[in-house]
Amino acid sequence: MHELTVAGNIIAIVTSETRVAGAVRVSEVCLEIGRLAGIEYESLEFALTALKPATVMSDALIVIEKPGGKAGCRACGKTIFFDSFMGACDSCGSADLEITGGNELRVKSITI
Amino acid sequence: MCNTCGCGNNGDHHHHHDHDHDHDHDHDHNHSHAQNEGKVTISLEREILETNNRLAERNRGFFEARNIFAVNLVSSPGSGKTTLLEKTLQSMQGKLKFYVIEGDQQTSNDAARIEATGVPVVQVNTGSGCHLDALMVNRALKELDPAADSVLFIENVGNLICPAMFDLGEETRVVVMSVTEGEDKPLKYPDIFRSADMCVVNKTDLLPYLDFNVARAIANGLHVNGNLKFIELSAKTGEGMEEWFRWISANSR
Repeated sequence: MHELTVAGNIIAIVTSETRVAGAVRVSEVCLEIGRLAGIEYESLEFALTALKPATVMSDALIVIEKPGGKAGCRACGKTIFFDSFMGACDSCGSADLEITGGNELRVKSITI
Repeated sequence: MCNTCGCGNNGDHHHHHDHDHDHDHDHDHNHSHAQNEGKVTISLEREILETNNRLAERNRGFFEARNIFAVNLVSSPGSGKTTLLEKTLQSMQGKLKFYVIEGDQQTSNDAARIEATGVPVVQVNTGSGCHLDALMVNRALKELDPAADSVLFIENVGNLICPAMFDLGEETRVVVMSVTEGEDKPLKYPDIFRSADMCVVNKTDLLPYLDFNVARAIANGLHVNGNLKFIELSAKTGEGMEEWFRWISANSR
């Protein structure tokens, strides 16, 4: 249940940024969490729901953007797209892949 | 329109959002935010695990400065991490200087087993936590104070999910898979296999009694991580351990 740790970090970031902005409440939090980031979206939503009362996020709408996986093949140069892990390029079969998307784990923006 | 807050002001105010320092951000500038029902959206783009990642980099710097080969050992519970460590320390501690950080939810049983080999060890109990993080390792390092030119094993909590995303500052990550587990472990838990550099296939002495197909397990590992290396061994009988010892020696300086 590492999602609980992740949720705690999200609340800490949002709380400090809200204070910096001189606000006391956040109406929307936008997260960017890629499909390869190792996060179970439902568990994260559950953890946020459990932790957010009595924080600046208590009434906030939580929006999660979920970019899919993307990798560049170092052998043939092709860009491949996928939602679960792939060990080889679907074009040339090389295992030399560089993951370029889907690992995102960010607080993208807050609306106050 | 201002791209940062959508306020409609044509650019005569500044949004400086470098958040490495604390600063005041007062909103007494004289324009209205009426276009968005009085709301302002602030772009942050902050890494959720930034605190852990920053501490992990500090740990990494410490290892680099002291020339310590730091290994993060991960696996499911019961795959034989502690036995692998015990046998490794018993065989190799005459040649190299070793230190161990033991991570478990409760008890210091594993630390006691390591202590019996004579190698300095610190037990970290994570309580309700399911993984070690960089802060726990940072604190343990202060207590352990490992000498220069040594090897540090960090035995993570037995868990194939949560430890995957927490960088501890290690140089290399080793995932242990025992042959009593399914061949499809890498497919079921891809994050941890994708984040590892080396996979130790343990308990090979039990292969005659099982249907476990090593070649298929390795193929599954390569499916999620094309760069994964494998060593097959039995920590119990010692079969294959020489290759593991050679890998440690080659990586420690």
